[in-house]
Amino acid sequence: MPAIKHSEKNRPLSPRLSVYRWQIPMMASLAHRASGMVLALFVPVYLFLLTGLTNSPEDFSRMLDWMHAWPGRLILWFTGVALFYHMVNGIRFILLDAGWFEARESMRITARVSMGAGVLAALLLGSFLW
Amino acid sequence: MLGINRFGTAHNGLGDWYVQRLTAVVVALLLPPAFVLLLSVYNGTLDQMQLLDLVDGYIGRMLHTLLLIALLTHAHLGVKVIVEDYVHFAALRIPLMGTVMIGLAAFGIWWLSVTWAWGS
Repeated sequence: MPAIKHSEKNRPLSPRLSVYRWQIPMMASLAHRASGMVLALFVPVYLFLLTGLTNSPEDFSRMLDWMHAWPGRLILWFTGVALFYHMVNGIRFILLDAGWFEARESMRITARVSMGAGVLAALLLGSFLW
Repeated sequence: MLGINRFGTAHNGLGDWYVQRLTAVVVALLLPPAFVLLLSVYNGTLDQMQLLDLVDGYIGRMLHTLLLIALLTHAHLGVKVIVEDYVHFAALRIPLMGTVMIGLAAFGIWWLSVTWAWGS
């Protein structure tokens, strides 16, 4: 190891939220992580719904009631929005990996597009569920 | 991947990177249809018999199996990246990731058993 141990210790660790000024691509990236966590937490709920819906007819109607009650609606809305945003921004990330939209300005524009897609999904899914 | 001379000290980061993107493509193709099915059940477009007709054929079961393998792998890698970024204390991070991995595997096994038990 070179003799930079001391200064290395005091370096801020990634993702350095307190160091950099908040920018739109950074928010898009954070929202990608947050929506990913929401979707990971939806896995048990999906399994709960799937088991119920494919079980006896009584279980099916119980699940339907659960989905139509407000906690179920809210969970469906929240995960649907997270899914749509995560998918659009995920496609954006893959395009970035492939070398598209890498310039600073196009990074900002595409970040706005992902976020706009998330807002649009929130409105459309909201009007579908309520 | 072209032009890379050395892979760094972990030696396997590229594998994670690639698998994360490969599973992303599978999930992007298969999860939206599953969500649409859920919404169709929600608004009454599909009743239980019609739902079962769609999911309990061989194709439905195969696609569901592919989806769950890709989804759980993708979720594991994604949660791992987040945990490695924010949980700096190794004695907490390692058991936490172990728990996440076992938990996702358990859900996967349960999900598989549900998917392949339909109609029997």
